[in-house]
Amino acid sequence: MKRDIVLPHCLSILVLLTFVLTNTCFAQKGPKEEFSFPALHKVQTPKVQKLTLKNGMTIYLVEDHQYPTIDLRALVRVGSVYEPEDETGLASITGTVLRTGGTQKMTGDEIDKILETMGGTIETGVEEGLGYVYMSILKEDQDKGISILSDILMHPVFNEDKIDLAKIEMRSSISRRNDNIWSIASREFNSVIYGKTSPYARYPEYATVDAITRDDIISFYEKYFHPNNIVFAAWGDFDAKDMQKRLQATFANWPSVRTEYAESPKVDYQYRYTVNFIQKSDVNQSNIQMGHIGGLMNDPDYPALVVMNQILSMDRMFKVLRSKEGLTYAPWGNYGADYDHPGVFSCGTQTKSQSTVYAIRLMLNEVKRMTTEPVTDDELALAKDSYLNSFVFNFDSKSKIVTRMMTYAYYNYPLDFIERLREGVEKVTKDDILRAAKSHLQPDKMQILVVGNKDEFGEPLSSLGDVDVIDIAIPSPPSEAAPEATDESRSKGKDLFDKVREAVGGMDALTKITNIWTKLDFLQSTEAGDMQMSGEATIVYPNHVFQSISTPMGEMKMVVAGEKGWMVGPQGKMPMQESMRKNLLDNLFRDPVNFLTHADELQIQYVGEKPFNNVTSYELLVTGKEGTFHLYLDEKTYLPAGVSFQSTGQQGPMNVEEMWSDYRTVAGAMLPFKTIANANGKKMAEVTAKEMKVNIEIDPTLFEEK
Amino acid sequence: MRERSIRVAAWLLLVLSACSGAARGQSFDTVKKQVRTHTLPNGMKFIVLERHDAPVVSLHTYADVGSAQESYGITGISHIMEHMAFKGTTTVGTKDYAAESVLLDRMDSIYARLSSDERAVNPDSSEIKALQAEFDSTNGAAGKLVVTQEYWDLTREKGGRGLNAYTSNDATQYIVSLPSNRLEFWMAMESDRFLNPVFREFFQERNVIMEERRLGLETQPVGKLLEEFLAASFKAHPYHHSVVGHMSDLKNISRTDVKNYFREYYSPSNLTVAIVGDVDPGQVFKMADLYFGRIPSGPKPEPLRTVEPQQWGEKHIYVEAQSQPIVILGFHRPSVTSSEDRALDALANIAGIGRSSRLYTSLVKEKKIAVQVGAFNGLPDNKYPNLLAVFAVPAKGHTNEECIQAIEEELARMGAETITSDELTKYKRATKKNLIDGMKSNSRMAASLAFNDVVLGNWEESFDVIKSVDAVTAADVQKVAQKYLVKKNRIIGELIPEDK
Repeated sequence: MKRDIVLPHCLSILVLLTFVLTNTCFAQKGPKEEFSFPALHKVQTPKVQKLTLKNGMTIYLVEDHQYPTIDLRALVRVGSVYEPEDETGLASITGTVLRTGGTQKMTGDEIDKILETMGGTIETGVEEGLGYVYMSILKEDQDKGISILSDILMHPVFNEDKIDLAKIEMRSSISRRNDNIWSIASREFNSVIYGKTSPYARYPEYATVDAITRDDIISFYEKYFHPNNIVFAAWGDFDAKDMQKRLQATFANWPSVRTEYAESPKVDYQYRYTVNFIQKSDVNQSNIQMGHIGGLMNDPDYPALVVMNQILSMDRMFKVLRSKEGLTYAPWGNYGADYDHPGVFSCGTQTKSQSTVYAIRLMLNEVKRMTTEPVTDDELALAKDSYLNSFVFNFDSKSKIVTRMMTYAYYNYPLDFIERLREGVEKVTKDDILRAAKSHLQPDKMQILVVGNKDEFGEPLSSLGDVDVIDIAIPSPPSEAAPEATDESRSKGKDLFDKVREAVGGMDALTKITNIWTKLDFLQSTEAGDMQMSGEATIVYPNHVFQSISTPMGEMKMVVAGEKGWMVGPQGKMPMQESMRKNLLDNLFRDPVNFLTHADELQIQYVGEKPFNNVTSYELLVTGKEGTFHLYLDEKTYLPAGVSFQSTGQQGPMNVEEMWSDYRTVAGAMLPFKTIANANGKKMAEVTAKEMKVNIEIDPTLFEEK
Repeated sequence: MRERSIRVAAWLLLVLSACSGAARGQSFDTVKKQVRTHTLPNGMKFIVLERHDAPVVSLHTYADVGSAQESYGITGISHIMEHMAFKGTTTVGTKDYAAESVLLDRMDSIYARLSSDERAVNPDSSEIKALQAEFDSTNGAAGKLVVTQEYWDLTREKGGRGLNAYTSNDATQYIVSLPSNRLEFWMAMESDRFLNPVFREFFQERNVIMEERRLGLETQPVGKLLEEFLAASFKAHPYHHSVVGHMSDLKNISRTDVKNYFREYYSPSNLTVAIVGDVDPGQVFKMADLYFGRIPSGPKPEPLRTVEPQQWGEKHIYVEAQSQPIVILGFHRPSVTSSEDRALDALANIAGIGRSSRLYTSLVKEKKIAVQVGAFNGLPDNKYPNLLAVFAVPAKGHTNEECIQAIEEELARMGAETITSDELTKYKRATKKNLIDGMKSNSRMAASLAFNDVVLGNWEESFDVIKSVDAVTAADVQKVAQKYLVKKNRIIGELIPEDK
């Protein structure tokens, strides 16, 4: 700095002084030195106006003239917790079609176009415990925007075509729900904690989507969408008085209607230690989630738990699993609390398959440590400083302030809940955290879920305890509607059915068969090529199956005894996935000895003629309480050429065709000795019977679960 | 420290990805007038937007280096560097730097021998074992001197929010928001980060990044699709490889590599800082002189040489995974600095953003063959010639082929007919609304100022963009549609269910 040479003396002193002063203010500091921070500028808390219309609608308004936009959010007292279980998906579809299905004045497509041409957005939806509406528009479009929004809320028509579209979307998302391990883990962990059928965990299936009708949607809307069930928040470039008038004029004629709400679903949780597993053969990293039930935000321990969460996640899980061990990218630990029902305490991470069990042990250890020793002074100070010093971010926009108020009002929480929480956090001590951790965390009763590829695990999951394998196969949609049965198709079906029964050996011969034992060769087609195995199978009608197959890894037994199913492998007994048990029983349902002797329990319908396995065949549609299959009869011999049906795989439904051939006589009945099975047009397996015996003496221990 | 290759995957699922727009004239110019800039003698530039709505400030450091600067053998190093920037300095994160630095240097020399031995054609296993043991014990000793995560904790303690960083193909960006009275703390931390960095816990962090690659790419069918798709799309330009890098490179990049990379690309002339919030620009600049002025100047890195050459014919790639089908189409287009950029932006918006867009109307509403469809520019990034991308998620029971055919029909219409005036209005208004919404957020505004200044050479574009948007005509859109949406210029990537 060249400065004082030409300056008068006094001025140069002044400049020098300024130089010294500035440098005193701004002496360089290291990041860890003490800073004397100036006082934080005051938060300008906006004036929030509350308005309650005569029909019970509550509205919070905040003026914000910074930018020429208007935003509006509303919460509606509705939710998927109120939908019937056999129509899971109803609430969500109602929320979607409310917006897309149009109104008495405009179609949904017209609304899309008008809104998008003005750069605006209106969206609606229904989630687990609430319905939401939001609008965001430029100020100059406020009349148009509010008019469309109110029209959607008050006069929706739920156009059939858009219901169809919403159902297509939902079915597609069902078909895609096992594509990503993160979504599998989150969904199934929720089921593990709340129970599969709990309204807080269940999810739509093809059958529940199919069950939803337009009338159901309209009644659902009519039951819950009333002004007295809605709380609004609006902010933006408007005059609050003027906006009040507008909203009053718009919604005044919407009558209030009392809604009888069902009691909130109960969460009945039993603390227990479990290890759950889902196999995904195409991943090299496990997704791990573990925990148990959590609590409510209005719990007196909540402030202590907020501080504990920060320490558990940032100071424990993150430092140990990520920074020190390099095991994972994003570990967490969080005692979850909700407004109106218990949340979930969860810890989780993702780690390469090899370190799965090791990472779980580390996390369990951190949870345990939280309940056995106090946090350190440094950890406590840091977590509290972090919370308190960043508290100002809860007030850095008017939208945050007013939407928070709306949310508290919706859940009947005090409007200053966040201030009370801050006061609570300020007072939290080490003892508070230890006490809260002891009373809210149960480290010995954690439920662990792993989604991953067990073939790559460094240590088997069973080293953590008995493993429950969770079946995530997607249940098939209800069979496609069969062609309408007529008297003619039924009677022709019955005639043909009688002819098959005769061709196979007649009622007498068939009813005498109580069991069949087969020695077989088994060729399975896999990605890696064909795999040849041999084994034996025993079927005891009507519902017992025993199969034993020699595999390269050793002998594998599969047993179904009615309602129960299990497997015994070289490593011992394992539970059988429900979908596999069902598949084995369904095979029995499609076994000729079984269905030919139970015509009285079946609906049989003639469909037409069709080539099947290069044989001209008659096609019958056979429906029983177990399901439906197509039966193909050789036109010349009337022997069954095979069956086709829908089955379930992890990637969703499969079309399976079984082709039966090489019929031979066994104890007066004609039975097929060769079966070839195709799935979705690709060969899956070929089974050849080497020897077959009927009515053998059954070893009763075969079906005893040990 | 979450990086952008994951975000790229998210793009596919998030239809609305427009990032610019404009507000009504007067409120725009008012905000624009609040911006001040200052360049230090060492070349580092500061852009400050002062506004006092709330006592908070967002701070955004933009390093003009990304995976596009990487060559074979060091893919993923920009992102590794980003992670290392959180590991502390000579004073932050250590109990005894003097002792630690000796151990770190020793580790570097052991690792150099170990790594090349491991890659030998005939590895000598006993030598490797001995080196590994020596390496592990040195690493263990160095670890004992680390104060784990001190860098994060100092920021947490001061009330920092959103401390994070992003690496993309074009840039590495470090962000945080603080209560505005903590400004000086940030000056001390951020300048120390680039003046005295220490890349400690390097080998653990490399493992973390491998987990990040598994998380974002190897266990995600869509991640696999994108990696394969970009590799096929760019035969020469480094947009070819993913931001996170190849696994084999991640396993072999050394601390020495990262130090060299830092020296080349983190000179102050390659750094730009945007600060938005409750601050006084004069005070910011004084502090910047004092704190960041300490960093010695260095040459600006040489611009990239390789330009993606012309594509000679359509490319079609398939990725098999345990997943339902998804399809993505890419069309080569010029960089964001091109005069055609706005017309291409309008093209993507009208074809594929929103429920009234042409693709959504055709594939989702009318034909009901897809549940999601969209179009966006800037795949994988913007600074160099990139792709205009169109993707579709087929509805259950429908195929990629059906979607490709329907997309082709709609895109052909974009070239054959002029767009309607309603469609042009939709584009202009949506862009304007988006820009206003972006201006409401300190952090989004800071990101916009930094991006425009570095990539377009002009922060004013954050506000002036509205003028170029307003100037777009229907004829401009038709012209770029005819020029770029042609088969020879196209790449198709399909995710298909694995044969089981």
